[in-house]
Amino acid sequence: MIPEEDWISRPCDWLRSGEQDGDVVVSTRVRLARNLRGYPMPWRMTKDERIEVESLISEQLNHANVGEELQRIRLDEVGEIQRHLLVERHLISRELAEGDGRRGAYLGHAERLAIMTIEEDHLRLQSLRAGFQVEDAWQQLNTIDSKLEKHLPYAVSEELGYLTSCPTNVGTGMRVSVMLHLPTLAQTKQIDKVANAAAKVGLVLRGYRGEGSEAIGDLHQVSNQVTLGRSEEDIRDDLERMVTKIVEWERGLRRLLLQQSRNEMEDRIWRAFGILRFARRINTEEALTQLSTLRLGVHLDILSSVDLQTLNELFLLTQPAHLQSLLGCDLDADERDQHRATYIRDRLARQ
Amino acid sequence: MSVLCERCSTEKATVIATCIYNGETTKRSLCQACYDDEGLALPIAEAIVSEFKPLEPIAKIELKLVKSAIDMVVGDGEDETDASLDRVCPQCGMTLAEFKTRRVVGCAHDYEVFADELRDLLLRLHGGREHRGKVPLDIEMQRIREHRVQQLAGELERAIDSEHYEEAARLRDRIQALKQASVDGDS
Repeated sequence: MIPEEDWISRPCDWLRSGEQDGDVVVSTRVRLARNLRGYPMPWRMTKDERIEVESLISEQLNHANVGEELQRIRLDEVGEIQRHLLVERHLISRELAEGDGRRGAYLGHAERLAIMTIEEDHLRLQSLRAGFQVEDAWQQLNTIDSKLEKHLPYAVSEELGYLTSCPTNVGTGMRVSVMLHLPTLAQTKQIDKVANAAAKVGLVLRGYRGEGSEAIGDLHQVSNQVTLGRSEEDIRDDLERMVTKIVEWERGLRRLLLQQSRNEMEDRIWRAFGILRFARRINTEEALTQLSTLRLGVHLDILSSVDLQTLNELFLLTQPAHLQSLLGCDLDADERDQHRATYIRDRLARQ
Repeated sequence: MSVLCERCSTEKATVIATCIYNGETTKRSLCQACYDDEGLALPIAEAIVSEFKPLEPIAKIELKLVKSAIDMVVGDGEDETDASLDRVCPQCGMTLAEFKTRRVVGCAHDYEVFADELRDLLLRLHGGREHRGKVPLDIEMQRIREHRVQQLAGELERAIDSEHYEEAARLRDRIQALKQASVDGDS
């Protein structure tokens, strides 16, 4: 297991700046859900079955030559902070972190590949990228999946495709999610319209933490809802076209608002800077919100004294588990808010 | 002289909103309340949707609505025809009633055991009935073999009709070999 302090200095590849369409698209994720024939779904497995399936998958992940060395993390053996570090880095789901019994995470180099075992399904392959890189993420997963299927007896039906725990994933078992930063679409109250447009083509707009969550810092995820009846390629095409449209609209609005009300935009961004630079306590959500506004300021060339790399690091390091690892101690919520403010102040003062 | 808001026609217009739609720019004079209410009034949804092939109407989009889709398909147990709620999967032991509460299946075999209910549900959730896209290679090979067997059977029939018996024998052996490969699971 990686020592906690190492996570702090470890680069989180999907938060890298300067990737394709990075002014609006923060990151891309593709996930494939797979199950093994002849075993119950995870929620119905006995302790022994969990161990058996996890070991089987683990062995094949070792054998299959997935293209890079995988680091195995036995989630039933690591502490709470470690597990939440992985959640904050978007490498595993909250459900997996908070679950029980044998379950694992397998991380690839630079955290571009993150595999979960015994989550809602037996196996969930995920590929993460900075910016808008659906094809690249898909290619990696498809290759790995094709290698694994030779050794793992996947539960598949001719008619329904890959069979999953939840009927919402049946078919391709594929979910493509793109995280978007949409501050001006939100400011002009267009998010509902974007969500409606997405819904009409089988896509769904969700908040920052995915399913059922609110948008924080104007970060929204677009993902495909439909997995049955459309091929992986169709789904990716539709999603890519929709995201391209949303990116165009967000950029158009940014230009328009800069023309029409530059002073207001500048005020908003410098106020966010003011809060982060001088606040004495700040919670995760507000930090994320204000950091998002700074991100906009950097992309609009209003804020030149802050670099994107610092912002991206702050996005990660100010979340509860990272903050506690950074400071090397357990903190309650109140203490965290104070330390978070102090850390952000220091980082911004150094800029 | 003050201009009235173009939207509500009652308040004084205090904002000029610029709308860009399909590359055309229009300016509208609005009061603050209407401006706030409409945002910049960009018909984004319509503009985006017009560029996509509309889907079959699919049930509801958000996951919490999976529950209502399930309720519609599985029934509430009050109807006497809902005796099916007690049906059990012989492999994992899950009943349909349990599926209704958990909203996840107990094992892959449930998709066969509760085929009627689940197929209906899948149609509501996805607007599609049949998988399209990737399948594991052995299934793909199986499909290719079956397709080839059908082609060869047609050729065999024609060969017999035209009394080309040597050719017919060759085709028959080829079909046998392909069928055997399917049974053996060779690829």
